[in-house]
Amino acid sequence: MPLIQEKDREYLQKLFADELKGDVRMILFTRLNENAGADGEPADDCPYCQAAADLSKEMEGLSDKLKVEVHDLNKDGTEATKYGVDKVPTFVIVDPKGDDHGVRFFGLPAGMEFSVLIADLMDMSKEQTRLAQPTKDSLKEIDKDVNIEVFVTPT
Amino acid sequence: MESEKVKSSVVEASEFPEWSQENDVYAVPKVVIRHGDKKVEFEGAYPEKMFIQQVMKALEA
Repeated sequence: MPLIQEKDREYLQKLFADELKGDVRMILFTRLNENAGADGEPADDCPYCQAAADLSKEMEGLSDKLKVEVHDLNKDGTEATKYGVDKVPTFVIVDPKGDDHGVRFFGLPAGMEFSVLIADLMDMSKEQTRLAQPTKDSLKEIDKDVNIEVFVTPT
Repeated sequence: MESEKVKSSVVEASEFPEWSQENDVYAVPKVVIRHGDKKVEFEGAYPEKMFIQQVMKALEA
């Protein structure tokens, strides 16, 4: 059974057709053990990686403007090093120019969190956020590095 | 996206128990804002204006 149901798929295709402007890249990092559970093989140490990879694959066909890449750390760590990714599964969202703005989603975006990922993709594609002007003004003034982590659970 | 200096992550707390434990995540959403060694944290979904105030608080000397 697909992770994205048919009616949601249709909804997302329409949404992306309306809302995606430039090409947006969604890069997923996984650590898959293809032999997990087989004789003598340990259980997968990333229980959500396969689902994240399946989800990415399903999202790939939603829009020509959504470019999906999956990198498995067990095979090649080059891209992970480039983006400073050391946890899996991790989604990195990159703007149409290929610039990384430090937007990350750690874990499988299930339930309501999936809409957060979708909103991130739309904002990044347009290269603009929906923040209020005073908030944008405050952010522009920041001259020191700051890192925001929002911990959530699937709802 | 609005600032080159700001990086932002969403973390599925249940999938990263150690990371969550280090940050005392007992209720969600839990927001941790870090600047160097300085940490400002709060629980709950703050309105945008209050959220940015917390970010600025983390940057105060």
